[in-house]
Amino acid sequence: MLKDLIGALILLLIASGYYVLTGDINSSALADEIGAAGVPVVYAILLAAIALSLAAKALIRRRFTRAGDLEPINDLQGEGRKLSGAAGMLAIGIAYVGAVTFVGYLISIATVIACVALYQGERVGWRLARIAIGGGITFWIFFDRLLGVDMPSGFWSALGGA
Amino acid sequence: MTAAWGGGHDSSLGGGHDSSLGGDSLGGDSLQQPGGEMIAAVLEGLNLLVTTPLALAAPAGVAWGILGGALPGISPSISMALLLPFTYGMEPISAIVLLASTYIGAEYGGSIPAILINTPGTNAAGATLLDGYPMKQQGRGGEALGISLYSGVIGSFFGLLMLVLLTRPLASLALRFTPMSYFALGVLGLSVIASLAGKSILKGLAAGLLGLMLSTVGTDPISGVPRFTFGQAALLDGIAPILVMIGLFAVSELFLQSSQPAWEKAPPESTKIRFPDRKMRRRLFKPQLIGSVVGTVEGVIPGAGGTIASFLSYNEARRWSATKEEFGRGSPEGVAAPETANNTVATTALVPLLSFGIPGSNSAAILLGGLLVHGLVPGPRLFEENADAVIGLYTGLFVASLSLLVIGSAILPLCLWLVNRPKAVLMAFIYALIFSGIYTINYSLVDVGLVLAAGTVGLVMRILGLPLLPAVLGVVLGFLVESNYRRSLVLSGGEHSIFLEDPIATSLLLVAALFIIGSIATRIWSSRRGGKEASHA
Repeated sequence: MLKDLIGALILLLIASGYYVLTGDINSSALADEIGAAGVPVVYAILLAAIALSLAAKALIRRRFTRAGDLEPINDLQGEGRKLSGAAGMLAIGIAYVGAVTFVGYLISIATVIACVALYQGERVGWRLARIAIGGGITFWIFFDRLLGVDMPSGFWSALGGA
Repeated sequence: MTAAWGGGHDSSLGGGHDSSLGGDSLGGDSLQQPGGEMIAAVLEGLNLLVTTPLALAAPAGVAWGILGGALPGISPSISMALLLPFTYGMEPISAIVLLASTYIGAEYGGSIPAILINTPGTNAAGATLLDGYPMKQQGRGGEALGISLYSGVIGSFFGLLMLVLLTRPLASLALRFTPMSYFALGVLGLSVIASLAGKSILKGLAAGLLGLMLSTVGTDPISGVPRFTFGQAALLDGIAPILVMIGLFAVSELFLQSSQPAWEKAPPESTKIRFPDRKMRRRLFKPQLIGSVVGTVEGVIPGAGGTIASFLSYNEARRWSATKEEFGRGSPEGVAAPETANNTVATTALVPLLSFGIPGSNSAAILLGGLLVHGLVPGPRLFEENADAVIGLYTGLFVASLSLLVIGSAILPLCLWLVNRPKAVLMAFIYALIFSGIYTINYSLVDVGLVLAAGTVGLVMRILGLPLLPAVLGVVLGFLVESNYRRSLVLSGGEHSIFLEDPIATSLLLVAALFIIGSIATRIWSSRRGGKEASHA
């Protein structure tokens, strides 16, 4: 139930933000009767209406839920672990996007492999190093050399390398 | 890209890759006429087998699909999504066959961990587990795997036959489509949300609207003004559906898996595949027939999918079995029925996709992305303008079904090895593969960022219980719906009655309404039945 309430709140925020942004859409002499902002405005209003319905439904259910009912009021317990687990993975991804242009694909992708494996419980040691370096080189050979994809070379290009 | 699918977002859907299928050697008639033209189509299929890498793409897709399906958490759609970026540089027919074959392979692959470690590799394999794992516990794991593979091949061939028979007649109807009809078709596609919404129809609608909102990013289809681009030129073509799909399905699954415990290991001595003997084949005929019929019906109806087909056919096989008491305790029929059904769905799900462009499942949505990337627009024009692509797809699926039998047994040791790799290492390699694959599409790190963002949104949606497929449907169909709605109103001078004056549009809107009412009625009926059962208990 708490999950539905929070979900409804997030959806309402998205609908509001999206509605505000429709105000930035320019009008055009070529526009039809509905205009470029017409359909987005309808979407925003519909989403807001659904969000409010979800919230109302959750509140009504909460009102009639008694102790001992099968459905718990706080159904978000344990979900924080999922978010924190994902946050680490997301951080690794963002770091990759930020660093790959400067560091180069080969080193970045090997680092991603090492970081994710480490984050998921692999121990620090030669095995991890072998996996990361071997994986990085394999990916680099496959994408850059075999498929001919121009992967970011980073500072290596200044040194005349990959 | 046809006018019906819009113009403003061409590059985002087509990726700037022109189809090389312009030379329609058969003039499109080969798929219209029976008899002699059918023979010409078969000959063209054989020709394509020799002149294109089709014969390699099909088994490669099957092998990839089996490996992906065998990994718990990697669904058929995720296996296909991971492969999608690599198909950009490929010749269109081979690319589509590779993706479609992956779907076939993954449906079988999902049964491997279901039978061996009591963990379904795919949702549809959840029904296989009910008797497959007990068989393995009785030391009959090899027999269960053999029945699963044999039934999967039968289902795959049956589904292919239905695909060939049903698709063209349905698609020919779409030749008479107007902008009003295309709008109504889009609405029909979106009406699938009613049955895909999971527990809450409101959540399904919310997810669908989120997808529709994403589809408005980019250039307006009528006036050409930019919308929600924040001054970024990269967003003028809109957000490519492929990025949303990979983010929502694959990345969010990795995010979710990062907090899950490692899956169970399969015993290394786990079996050699043992195919059913003649007596067993006779016994399996009835459940396989049930699986084929249920799989065809469920595949053709958008939104039903392999999981429902598997459980439904399992239930029907038990109902019609002479040995009901064996079900749940290691019945071979309990493995055969769902495995036939989910492999039948893997091919019949292409019927609504190829005929009308409606993706009825996650995997079909990914395949639609693959078709659009190569400039192949589903519908009647596909059969007219790219007949060789359709023939190539049918031929490729035939080769894929055949190779499933061979690769399915040969690849088992590799599957076992893969399933037994540390989860940490597997996740690291999949993450690296996604980053590398996405970059190859447009050589753009913005795309990688968008996929990470879509993955985060997907994770939040999963946690909040918002279904993912309605959002994908919204992204894929949003532009079709909006552009044709507005074109229709331009034609009518703003009169909405134009939608009721077009017979096809009216019929499709009526079907959509019936579909929605039917889904809601089913929900109410199920919840009342559930309530009654609970009160009796």
